[in-house]
Amino acid sequence: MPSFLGMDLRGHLDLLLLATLRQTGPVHGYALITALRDRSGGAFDLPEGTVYPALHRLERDGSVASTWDTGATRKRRIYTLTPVGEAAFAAKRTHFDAFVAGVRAVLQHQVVLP
Amino acid sequence: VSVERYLDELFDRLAGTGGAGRRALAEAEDHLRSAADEDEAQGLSRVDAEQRAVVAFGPPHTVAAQLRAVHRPDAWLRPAFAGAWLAGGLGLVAIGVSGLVAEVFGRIFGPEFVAGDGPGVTYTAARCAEYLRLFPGAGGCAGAAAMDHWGEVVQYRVLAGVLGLLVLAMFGLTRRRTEFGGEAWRPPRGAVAVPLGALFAVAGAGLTGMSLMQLAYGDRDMLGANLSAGIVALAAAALCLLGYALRRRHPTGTAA
Repeated sequence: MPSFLGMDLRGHLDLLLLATLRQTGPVHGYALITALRDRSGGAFDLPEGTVYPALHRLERDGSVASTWDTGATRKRRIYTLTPVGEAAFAAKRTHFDAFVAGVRAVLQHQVVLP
Repeated sequence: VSVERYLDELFDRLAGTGGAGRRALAEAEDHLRSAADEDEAQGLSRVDAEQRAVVAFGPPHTVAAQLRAVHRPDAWLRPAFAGAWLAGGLGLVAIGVSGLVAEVFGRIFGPEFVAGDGPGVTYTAARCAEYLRLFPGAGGCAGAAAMDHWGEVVQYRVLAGVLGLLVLAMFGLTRRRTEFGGEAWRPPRGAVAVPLGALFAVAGAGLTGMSLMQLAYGDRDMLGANLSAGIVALAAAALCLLGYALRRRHPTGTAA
């Protein structure tokens, strides 16, 4: 299961993949996973194989599109963010920001005792 | 475990997944060999580099189970639902257009042409009085009944057309705003246009043929109503099938 310091990443993996793909542009799976790991400072140490089912699901839902790159030494699948993916990223980011703000507000709440 | 052994096990666990599994296997191979190449370039032995790549990739049964979940065989239900929604909306709009054509036919050729009764049809005195009350200028019971039936033909069909436009608007809005617009819900190219076009063609040929036979035998029973539906169905069939043929020639990425 994808984790970050023991926390479940399942609900956020799509957001992380869309965000990384948005930053890198068209890219193959290995480079995408490497970019995600590098950008998180190594914090998101995912079982790398589980990213491919997530990418296939995002493609099935129209958020990413993919084509074979036969120019490389090995056959590679290149992933690109679609307009549906852009919209999905914006929506997921809004939800995530609201979630983080809510958690932070609870954590910072000061209880004033009489 | 070497990359080769890992890929063999993943292949076994992906058995029966068809093209999706073959693609996943090719991606896994590229990933594992790229990772191993990178680690080997940084000084690890090939054996250690492959071992590290395999461990980082995750257990083959986990990867295969997740891939199977994404590409499950009942995935056809979603595009079928979307296709039925689209086809239903288009069918209702075609009925609405036939209502407008029936309106035009009635204005040009008279209400009896659209919704006249067959020979031998009579009404009770009370029914006649009701028709004549509604259409006092009709000049007789048969004429008033034809006026009433013409109105019904046009009204019901146009209502169906308005409903069809609402159905299509909902379809477009839902596709734009939700995951319904994604690849999983998109019917394969031609999966709506071809069967719908064929259905329209059969209905159009039947209704138009029947109307022409009515004309030949002088039978006026609902002649214009049948003819208007037949003409619109044939036009809709032509639009569906020509649209599909043009899209095959100049694909733009949209489906159905």
